Amino acid sequence: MKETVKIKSKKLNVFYGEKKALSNINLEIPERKVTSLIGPSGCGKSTFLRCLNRMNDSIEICKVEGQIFVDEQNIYEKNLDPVLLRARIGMVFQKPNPFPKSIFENVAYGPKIHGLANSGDELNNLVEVSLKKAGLYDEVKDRIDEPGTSLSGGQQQRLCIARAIAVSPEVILMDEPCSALDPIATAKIEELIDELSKNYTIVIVTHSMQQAARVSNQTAFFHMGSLIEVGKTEDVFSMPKEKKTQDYITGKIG
Amino acid sequence: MKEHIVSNYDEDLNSLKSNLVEMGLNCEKQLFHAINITRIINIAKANEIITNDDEIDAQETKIRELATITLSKRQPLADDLRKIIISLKISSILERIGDHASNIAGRILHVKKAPENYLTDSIYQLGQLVLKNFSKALSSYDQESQKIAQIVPAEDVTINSVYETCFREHLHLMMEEPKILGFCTQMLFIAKELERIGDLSKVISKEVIYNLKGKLVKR
Repeated sequence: MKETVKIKSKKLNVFYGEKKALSNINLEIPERKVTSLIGPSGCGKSTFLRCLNRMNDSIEICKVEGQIFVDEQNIYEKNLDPVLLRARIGMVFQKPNPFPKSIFENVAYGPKIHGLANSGDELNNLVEVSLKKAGLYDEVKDRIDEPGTSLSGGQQQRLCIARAIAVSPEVILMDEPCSALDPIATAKIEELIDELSKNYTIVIVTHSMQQAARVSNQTAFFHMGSLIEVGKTEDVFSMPKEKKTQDYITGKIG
Repeated sequence: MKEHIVSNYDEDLNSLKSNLVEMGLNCEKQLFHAINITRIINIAKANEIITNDDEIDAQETKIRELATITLSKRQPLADDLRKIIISLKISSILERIGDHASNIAGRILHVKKAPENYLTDSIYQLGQLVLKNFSKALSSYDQESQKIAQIVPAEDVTINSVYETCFREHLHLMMEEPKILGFCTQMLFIAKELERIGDLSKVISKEVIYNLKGKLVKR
């Protein structure tokens, strides 16, 4: 069965002022699969991720050329509202960043501003379902009004995932979501990624080769602003086609 | 060949390889002596071969430990991972080959001496072919050479047909001279041990190709 393409970048070039950060990226991201972006620091993988929900718009010197299609719609079209786009394409960051509000409010905030719940009950239900999907509900159900920041790092990260899920996105972008977490919290997030991929398209930037190998279906390797290789994760990590990929994933120089 | 950023990683992989090559050479030596005593029976040598097999077993254990430590320390990927996987596989094959050499020595201890009218040296000749092909399989690993590895399965076809000839020859000998039936039976068991070593050499060569190409070769 052929996979449906959810996101497609075409001839994508990104500049930070004079500096070219991404060069001619053509990448297809399959729907309801996990795609991991790997590569050394400064290779452009996070820049690429941020292009997918126009997070780069807020950086003044950043210029994006080319096209990114989400379901055949070019997200860089002039009349497209980036706020609505970001409801469809949620993001989870490296450092958990809950709002300085209660656990409930953290999750309820998005549905409120997007008018996704018509009543208090509906909102309560939406928060509960989102927390459940993020695998956090059982741990926080008795202290839902406590501040989000009172949770542990791993719980905070799952709260951020619940917050992203609450607005019913189609895509979840994750920028090194486990780099600030201990191995147990990491395992819980990885388990969650696996579960979420049944309903959402997930793109994850990670520095851990093993994590990419564990969680993703497709892996893309970036190097100095170029996409060097993309393929099925098991192929990229067992028999990469490109020498550069092989050297990177096995930690070689020379 | 590029080196790892962490130089200890290279040392781990090199140590694994040198241990495996050493184990292979030990097997080669055992096999060499085992084949020799099929032509000129030497009881002392046979006992020595059986005793030395313990050393090969210990070498396998050491390789397994090294491989386990390297896997857990480095969490290797791609060609590094394959190098470790094949070292485990090949060391276990070498251990089997060591057992076969030891079994040959055991058969020799059993027969004690050759009957005077047993004049053929076909088992010894079979052994020479097997030894040569085993050495090739070992070199293909040591030199990481696909070219050498590809020769091994082709040579094994010859070994199998020589084994068949050897088998028929002994059947005739036994029919002609029932007094040497017991001796010939032991020699046929030895021929079977040699034929197995031929097969195992082929498996080694396929592991070498897997390491280099990343794809398993059909048996």
